[in-house]
Amino acid sequence: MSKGLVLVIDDEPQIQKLLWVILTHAGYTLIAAATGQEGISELVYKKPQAVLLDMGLPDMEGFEALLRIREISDVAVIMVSVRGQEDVKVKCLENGADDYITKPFSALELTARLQAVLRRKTTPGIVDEIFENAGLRLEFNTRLATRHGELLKLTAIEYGLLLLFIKNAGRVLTTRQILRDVWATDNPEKLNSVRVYLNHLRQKIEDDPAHPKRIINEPGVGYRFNLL
Amino acid sequence: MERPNPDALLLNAIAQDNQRGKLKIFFGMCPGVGKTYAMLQEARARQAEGLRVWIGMVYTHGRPETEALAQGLDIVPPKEIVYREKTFAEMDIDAILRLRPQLVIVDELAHANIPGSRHPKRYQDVLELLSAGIDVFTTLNVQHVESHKEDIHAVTRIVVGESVPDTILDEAFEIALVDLSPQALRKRLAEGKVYVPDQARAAAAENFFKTENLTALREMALRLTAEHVNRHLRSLMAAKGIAGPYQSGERILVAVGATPFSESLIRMTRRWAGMLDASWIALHVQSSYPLNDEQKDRVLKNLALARSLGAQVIDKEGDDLAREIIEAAIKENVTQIIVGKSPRRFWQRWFGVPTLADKLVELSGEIDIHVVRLSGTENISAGRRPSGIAQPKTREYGLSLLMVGLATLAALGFERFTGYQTLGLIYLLAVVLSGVFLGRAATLILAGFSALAWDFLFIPPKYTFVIHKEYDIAMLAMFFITALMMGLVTSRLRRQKEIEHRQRSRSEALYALTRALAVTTDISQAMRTGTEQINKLCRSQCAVVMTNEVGEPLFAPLLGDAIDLTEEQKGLVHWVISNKKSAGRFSDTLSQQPLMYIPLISSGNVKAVLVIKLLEERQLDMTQRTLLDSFTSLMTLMLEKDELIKISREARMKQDTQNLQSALLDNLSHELKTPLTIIAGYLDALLLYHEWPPDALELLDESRLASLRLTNSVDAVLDLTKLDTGNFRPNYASCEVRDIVQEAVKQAAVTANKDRVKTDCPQQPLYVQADFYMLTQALKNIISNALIHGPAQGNVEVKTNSLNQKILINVIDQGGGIPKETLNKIFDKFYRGEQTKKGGLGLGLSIAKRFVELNNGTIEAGNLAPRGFMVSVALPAAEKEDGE
Repeated sequence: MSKGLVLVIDDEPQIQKLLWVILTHAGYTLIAAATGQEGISELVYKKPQAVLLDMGLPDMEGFEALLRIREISDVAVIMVSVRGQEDVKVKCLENGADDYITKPFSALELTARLQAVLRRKTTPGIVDEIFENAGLRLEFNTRLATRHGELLKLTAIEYGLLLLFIKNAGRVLTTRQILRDVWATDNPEKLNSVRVYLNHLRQKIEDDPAHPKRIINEPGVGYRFNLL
Repeated sequence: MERPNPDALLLNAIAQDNQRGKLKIFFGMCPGVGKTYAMLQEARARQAEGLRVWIGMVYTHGRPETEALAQGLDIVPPKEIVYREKTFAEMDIDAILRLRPQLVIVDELAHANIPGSRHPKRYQDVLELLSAGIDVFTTLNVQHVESHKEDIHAVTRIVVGESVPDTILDEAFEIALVDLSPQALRKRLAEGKVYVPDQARAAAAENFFKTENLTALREMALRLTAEHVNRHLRSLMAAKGIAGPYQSGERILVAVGATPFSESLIRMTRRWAGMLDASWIALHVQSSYPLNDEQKDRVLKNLALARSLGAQVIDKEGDDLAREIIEAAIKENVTQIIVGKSPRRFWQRWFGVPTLADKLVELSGEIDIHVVRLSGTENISAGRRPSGIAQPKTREYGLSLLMVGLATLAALGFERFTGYQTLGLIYLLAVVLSGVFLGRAATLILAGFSALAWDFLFIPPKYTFVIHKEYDIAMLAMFFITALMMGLVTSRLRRQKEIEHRQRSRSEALYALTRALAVTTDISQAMRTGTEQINKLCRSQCAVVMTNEVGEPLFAPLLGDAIDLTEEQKGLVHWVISNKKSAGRFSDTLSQQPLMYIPLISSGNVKAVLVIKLLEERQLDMTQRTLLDSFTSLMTLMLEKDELIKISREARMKQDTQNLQSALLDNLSHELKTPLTIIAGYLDALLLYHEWPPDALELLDESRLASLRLTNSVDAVLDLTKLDTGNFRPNYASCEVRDIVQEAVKQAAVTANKDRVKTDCPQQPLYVQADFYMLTQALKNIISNALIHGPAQGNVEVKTNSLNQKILINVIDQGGGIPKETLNKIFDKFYRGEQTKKGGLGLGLSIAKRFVELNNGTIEAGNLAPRGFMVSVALPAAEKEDGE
């Protein structure tokens, strides 16, 4: 049984083949496209659940391909990039990309990311009334948060942050996206507040705040909430 | 002098930061000049350069050439809006915003949208596109510019319905004038190449496309374009920090005349303007009363002085001084007018004739009038005509007497048939004719002599001046008064016509040059064009001597006519350059020299010297000399513009080189990383998805580690190349030190056992203002180094703490350290420890040092007692951050 249909848009046949090996073993079915145009038509006809989109394509930039995909579909999109394009990654994430992965990537990393975005796409919003993961527990109705049974006193902003992270577990959020969602502002002067409040939150929800494991910084891009 | 306004500079910076789209307007005098065609042509050129161009809306009006051009471009399908049961196609702005093209074509900026569209006017759509960062090409006719609506109505009697505000012209990054001569346009109209909506309007169109209308419209279009060029230049100057004319709320106008008093008036106004941070204007009104040479010279010197002190110089013609001053002031948005105090003549005082100041005050409205008296004033007021009626030429007197004679001969012939009374009409005819052709004084003389001749020869008793009948006395008196009045009126009419004619030819000459200069990009060509226009104006030969960077004249090649300069004349050019003053004819220096030498001064330096050789041995008249001044200032403007363009071109070239390097690096990175990704990926897959015997597993694992190490080395080489070529653009942000340490450890541990690294951070978060990527790489390199060079199973400690506004990150291994004498070498490129056997390029620490220093930090290394080696990074701590 296939876990899902994944469209790979990449002009390197070798990368295509590598992804095929990794993803087939992980239980996915692949469709390949070598150009942005081809990718978009495959997207329209075959309706995959996820797209792996290379940042540099022969006919257009990955960012442009992303925008075109977003015009017609809300399929899960993971950008495949190389190191040192952090600004482009941020731009893509803020324009609808679900996540990104940096070459060279490990097979486990790739499948984990893919699984995370697919899970979120299939269960949008929060269905359960309780979130529970490795000792961290949150009841959405009562807004009660506990860590290993101990009650956490969260401020409104901290609660908002935690809720946003749980909703987007496994996915990277840019600082600006966090600012927009929790503070409802685009004012870049507030970017530092995000960092400050994240630290407050880390102090409360991390088992060892000096070595955070749940809220991980993605260099130059943003933060990711990991399920342990 | 004036200084760049910090606010303007700031605005400029903001404007550049904001990724606002650029607006280009294809501007024309009327429909049918080919704006859409020119626009599509340029759009296609842009597309050929690789830009994505979409057509938002274009009206080809079925012209095949235009349609062919539009065919190569993608079209955003228009939106259909139903209004009063009819369907209208309007531009689909939402679709365009979704598509986010780099450039969109929007024809007819002045179009009014059908009710139910997002904005009532199309220009509002365009503004929205611009703020979304999309470049826009559009077309506009001069009659649709708000501020010109009334002028257009006055000239063409056509009421313009739709209009766009003038601010949109300011918004334009570029205004491209699409020009066509009225004759050529009329030809196109006759050939049916101009779109006329329907038959009913054809008659109106015929009326609209009259040559006089077209000429007027064209003039307005040219002037608007030239104004935009000037404004653009000014903002360019502000952007480059060059002091130029700045607008404050105040604008001062000073009336300049032919007196030495005017000079002090000019200087006073300059000081005043400086205090108010205002721009100022020197106005000279040429009356029809001729000035003598000395007076002409003084006016020109006064105006030149005003110009050199930073005034905008305006030269007008007209006899009603007060009215001309006020008109100019209103047109130029002047807030204050300065005039000299005019002494009143005795008869003026007797009859209560108002002075210039009185008249100005009466007409001024909201403008303040300052009447100034300065010491050392001569008995002539500023801007007034010279005292006494100027001497008409003797030839005119002769002619007027001749006309009296001719009229008398005719009268003698007619006397037999008509009787003596009617003969007055013949003399009257002579007076009117004199008013048309001769000056005022000659006409007055003619009227007097006619009266005398009529009385003496014809009115009984003949051959005496005696008149018996009261009836005849009344008739003669009436004749004299009528003749006087008619003569004066006709002569005034004639003068006005002459003034108008001169003004027209003057503005035509100026526009011709402005236009010619606006289309040339090459400075040599612009200078040649300037010399050609000067030759036409003054009947002269002239040439421009350019100067090089250090201000030496370049006598070959001369731009313009080939004038052979003698050594003495070349010396004079040198003099002009070092003294920054005019020399030769009509100047203060060596005025007996046959040639004129005029410096073209831009930002304080003589950029070129204009050498003029007059072909005729006569003085230049006022108009010629003021025009010459305008021409030279236009040419100076071109030189300034050229220099600014050169500066920005150099900056762009530097940018291009960097972009190219950066593209090459990206490509290199891609070429190296792809095979690495594949190798690492397959090894990963082999390890994950297959079962292996233990020895094979070890080999595979080794290979995987090797591929990761190779990736690190490639990263290091790429980083260093980027650093060396200046392609690293640090992105400073507030970072938490713990995040940096954690990421660095994670990356370093990829090729080693993670448990070997022990980190120690204080509980309280620490912040630095830094580029996250750079610091992470620096620290990763240091930690990797420690892992390699320390004992195989030994730990590496990463200790963070803050001390005296500094943040220290120490990386400590338990190895034997390095000999003291090599300590200062370990940060060198390609330096590897002597006993190093463990591989590595010797780049890690040198990159670390560069990255740390780029983030205002320092890096040091030292041996620890009794055993161990430490690399220490110190960074300035960021300001303590506050939350909400």
